This record gives sequence, structure tokens and C-alpha cells, in this order.
Amino acid sequence: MNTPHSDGREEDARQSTLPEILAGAPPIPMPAKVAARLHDAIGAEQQKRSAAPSVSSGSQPPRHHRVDPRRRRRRDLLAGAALTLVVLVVAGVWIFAQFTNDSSDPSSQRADRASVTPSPSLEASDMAAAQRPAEAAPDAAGTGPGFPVLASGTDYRLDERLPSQVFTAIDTAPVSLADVAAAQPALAPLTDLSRLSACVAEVAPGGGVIAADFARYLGEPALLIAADDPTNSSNTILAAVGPNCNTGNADERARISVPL
Amino acid sequence: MDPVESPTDADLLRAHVAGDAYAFSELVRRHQDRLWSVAVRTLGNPDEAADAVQDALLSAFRHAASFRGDAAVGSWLHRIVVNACIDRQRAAAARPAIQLPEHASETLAEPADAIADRDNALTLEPALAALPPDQRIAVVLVDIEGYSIAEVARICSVAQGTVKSRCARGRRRLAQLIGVPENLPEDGNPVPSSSVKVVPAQPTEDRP
Repeated sequence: MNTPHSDGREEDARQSTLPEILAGAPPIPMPAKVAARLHDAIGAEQQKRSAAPSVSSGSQPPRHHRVDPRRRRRRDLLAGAALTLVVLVVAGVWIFAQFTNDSSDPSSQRADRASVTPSPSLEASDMAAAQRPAEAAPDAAGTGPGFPVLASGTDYRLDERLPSQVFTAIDTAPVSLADVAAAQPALAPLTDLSRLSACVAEVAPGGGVIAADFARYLGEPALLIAADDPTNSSNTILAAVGPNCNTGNADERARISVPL
Repeated sequence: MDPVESPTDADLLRAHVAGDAYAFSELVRRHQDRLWSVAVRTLGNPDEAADAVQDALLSAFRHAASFRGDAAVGSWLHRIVVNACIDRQRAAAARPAIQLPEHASETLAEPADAIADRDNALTLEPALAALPPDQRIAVVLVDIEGYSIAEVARICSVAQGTVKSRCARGRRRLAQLIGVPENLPEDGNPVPSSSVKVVPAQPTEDRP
């Protein structure tokens, strides 16, 4: 028990970290008014249940019992009419789709994905989520890697700042591979889409790529790849790779799995 | 030792299904504070939380017979409440404006028993309420309630990476609001050097 003079209190004197505060957050007692209302509602529900015809095993809802034949007939008629309506609507939609299909460009289907193409206002990993598996998902033009490509300019370090650095980078606006090629000549090989896809598949064969940041690692040009850790769903893999990253050779400079 | 053993949660649920008029209320009494906590923290609004908890528990009352027993009864109730909160949050997101509680510390946090926890709780609740809903839900479920990233991703129908990102952003914002270190113990390092695999640098043509 903590007293003002106990060791526990002394422990409290040091500043708690956020994880400690969150993990130690005490339950919030339900306010008396809310509890009373809740138990009233449960009592009312109990009364309804008691008033309903008794059911021998609690597994069958009472309404399934003793349906009036006239009500059943009326219900069947309504169900039949509803089914007919659904069939007609589906057929109509199908005919309309067939009719309009000729004029549609295959890329128009991809246009739906355009809504999840890089945009500064959209969460980067939301985009990654919508576009999995990463290698298969194109961007609006049908040529993107399927995950946000960033050029944050961060010089990553494997220290306590790394997770914060990564998520700060994710806040930056995604860029096109063409832009990266111009800005980061040292990493130019990786701005080729197929090469980038091969590299990412080598580093994160399980997919779940959150972002790829053309940046630096310890001052050297490097691509930092953030992806779900397939061995620990609470973790994220952060891998810094060099320009030779490709199938069979990730050219990894560093790799870490952190709880993010 | 108490000579009369109190029924387990599973006993109470079975009794309720069998028609016991008081069993479900007793079950709710046991868990109501924890259920309330998760609801009020995820929704950030006591009125919405009260409705969510009530809807969820009435649903549990009606469908108790469908409980298969493959999880603890408390976890089952918890999950139902969490789902109700997510549904409400989605509905709220579809509405044109969301009003954040101005006096969250007064409305959300009742005095906690543990004096040692109270300082943090009074600071934490309004800070949580100030987070964007998606980030708040992720932080509450993962960091406070202990759900796995995968579970939260499933509950929220988003990818695990999205949950991670929301947690990271939420934690960063929370740390700023509360004024504490985000993830760095005073004398520790969240990225222990022993866990870092540094690959020896390889010569490349592109590097100077």
C-alpha cells in the first residue's frame, strides 16, 4: 500500500511515462445515474421476458413459436413480393451494367482507388490498408507501388527517436517515384517500380507495408521500409536498405522490430 | 474463508438463460465499471457511452443463449460493448459536427479509489477526449484495455498498420497533452540496442 512515506510514493515522485500511465489507468466507476438507468432497462427487459410465453430451453426466441397461420401466410406473401422486387432490381442493375460496360475504360475501375492515392490529409497507413497486398495495388495511374512513397529527408538513427522519426515521416506528403528519382539520384535504382516492388517483397515478404521513405540512414542514402511484423502483430518492422536492394539481396543496413 | 461460494460469471449467464430473473443484473454489476470505462474512454462522451453500454448489455441480455463459452463471459460482454461503441463512433463520424466535451475531467472521471492513480486519471481523461476518435479508440483498446493490434484491426475493420499508425499518433499527441515522455523511460531506451540487427555495410557503386 502506498503511503506518503513508502517506497511506492517515492516511486511516484519520478515522472511516469505515457505507457505507464495508460497501462495503469484505473477503471472509471459508472456514475450512479447511469447505473440506475441501466438496471432499470435490464429490469424492464426482464419483465418483458417474464411476460412472454415460457420457453423451455433459452435457446429459442419466443417469436419462433406458435405463429398464427394467417400471419404466416401474410408474411410469406410479403416475403415473396420482396424477393421478386429484389430479383427485378438486380436484373435491372445487371442489364444497365452490361449496357454501360462498353464505354468504360479498364482504368475507370482503378479510379475508385484514386480516392486512396497519396494525399497529405489521409492517414498513410489507411492508404496502405486499402491497397494491400502492396505489390498488387496500383495507384490512380495504375503504376504506383501500392503503398505511400515518401521522401521525408530524415536521417534515421537506431535510437530512441526512431519510432517518432518514422511516424513523423509518415505525416509528410507522399511523392511520386519520378520525383524521388530526381531528388535522390543515389537511390535511383529503387525508383523503378518493379525494382522497388522486388525490394519491398524481399524485406517484407508478408506484405503489410505501411510506407517506404527515400531518406538516409546514418547519413547515407537509404530507403526506410515500415511494414507489419509477421511474427508479432503488435510490432512494426523498420528496415533501412541500400540502393542495391532487390530480390535475393535486401542490401539491409539495419532492421529492427519495434512495438508501434 | 467464505462458506458460501459466489457463482461464477458463467454460472450467472447460464442461470439467466434458464430464466433466473436476477442473474443478469448481478453479472452486469460485476463488470459495469470496466464496461463503462471502455465506453466513456472510446467515445469521449458520457451520454453516448451510457447509450452504448445500455444497448450493448440489452443485446447481450437477449442473446445470452448464443454465448458459446469459448471466451470468458466478461470478455464477451466487453467485446459487445466495444462493438457498440465503434458503431456509435461511426455513426457520429457521419454526422456533420462533433462536439468535444469541454469539462471532460468533471464529467468523465469520478474520484478513483487509489489516490496514487488519481492524478494521472484526472489528466488522462480530458487528454484522451481531445484526441481524434480513431486515435482515441486505438489507444484506449490497445494501451489501456490490452487488446492486440490484430484484434483492434478486426474490430475496427482496418489494417493492422492503420491501428499502429493511429496508436503512434495518439500516443504522441497524448504525451504532449499530458506533458510526459512518450515512450522513453528516464533511464531506459525503448529501442534496446540488443534488439537491433545492424547489417555490416556493403560497398556499393552509388555510395561515395
